[in-house]
Amino acid sequence: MTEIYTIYSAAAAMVMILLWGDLLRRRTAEYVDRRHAAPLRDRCLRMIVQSDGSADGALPPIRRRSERMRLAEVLAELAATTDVAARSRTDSIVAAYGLDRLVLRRIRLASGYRRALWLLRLARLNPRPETAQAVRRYSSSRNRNVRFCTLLCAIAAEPLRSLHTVACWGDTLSRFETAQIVTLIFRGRMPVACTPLLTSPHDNLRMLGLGVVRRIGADETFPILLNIASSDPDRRIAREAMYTLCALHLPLDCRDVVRAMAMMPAAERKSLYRFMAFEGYSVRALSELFREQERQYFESLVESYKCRIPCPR
Amino acid sequence: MKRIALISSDSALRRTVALALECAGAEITTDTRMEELRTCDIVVVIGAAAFASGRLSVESLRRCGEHRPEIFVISWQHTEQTVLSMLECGVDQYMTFPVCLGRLRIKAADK
Repeated sequence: MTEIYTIYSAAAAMVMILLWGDLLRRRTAEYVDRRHAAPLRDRCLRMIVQSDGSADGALPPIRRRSERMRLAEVLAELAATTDVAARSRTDSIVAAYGLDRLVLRRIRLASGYRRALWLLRLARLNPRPETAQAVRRYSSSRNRNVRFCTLLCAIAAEPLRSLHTVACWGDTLSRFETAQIVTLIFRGRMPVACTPLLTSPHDNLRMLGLGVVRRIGADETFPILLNIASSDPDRRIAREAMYTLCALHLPLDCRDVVRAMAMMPAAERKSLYRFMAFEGYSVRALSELFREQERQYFESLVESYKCRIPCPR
Repeated sequence: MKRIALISSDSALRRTVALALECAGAEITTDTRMEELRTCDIVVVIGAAAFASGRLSVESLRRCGEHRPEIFVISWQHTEQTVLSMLECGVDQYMTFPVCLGRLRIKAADK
């Protein structure tokens, strides 16, 4: 009996030590961030944001490698959400501080998801073709995220060849990967035509075309979307075309949509109904699509999305 | 000096936009109380979720009969339907990500 109590006490003590250790680690990380990382991040942000527009403005010297790494992180983060880092300004900052060499070194030393994260940051820093060539060897990595971020680097380095690069990529694009590529292409302000992408024989380019259509709301591609939804040989792309039709709030009461829905298994149909309800389709708009009991299910979904509209007093 | 309120759940984005608008000589506040928002010249809302969920509305931000504060929305939503809905609700400027901070500064200075 005493031995059991001893074992339990030891286990409880071990758990408490681990919990306290984790708490201490988090508090320490917060302290370091507050004292050092946050002010440095703020300083880098000020340097980039407040010097926007003056591509020839002098850059302050930053000697410490950790500070330059922080600058690379901030610049990559800014490039993802703002247009502040015009290409000339980004190139001048990257060249002045050797950020591309630093990031390449970090990519070489990292592994797994950290390597993917640094590859993503490199893609946002407008890499040169030589830089993208240096990371090309990671396109055969076992980690899918690393392979995908290498693709992003190749697209960012040579935007004019982006469609060819995407077509040659060995994996099939997921919806989120497609969205990231579309964002990167639009950042490069490269005109992209939807129709050739949607009618392309390459699966990845058709996925990319659907992503572009969703991004810009290209209603005029309605006939092509219907055709893909009802007769595309890849069921995944046909399903994605259905979601694109719903996202654009296009009419769904037509023969092609009925045919497309008929080919879907029950679970996929239910998932699509949830999306349709979220997008605001009414029961009447979809009356042609329902099988038995699906109408009640969709009505319950529509009721769950209704909310009180506050009226001014 | 213009008084601009920032509403955003993302602290990094909020800081970035605040720095950009400070260059235009504006006073930035992140106080989201309704009484404070009504005293500002411009309210910048990052993300359309607050309007889409009904948590925020143009009528609640403005006093009856007044067109102050000006409301800017910066969002990831690019579709025409979302943009038109926002503008019809009374939003003055709708900008999409990636947002041009220089343009935002100019528009804030013009208002």
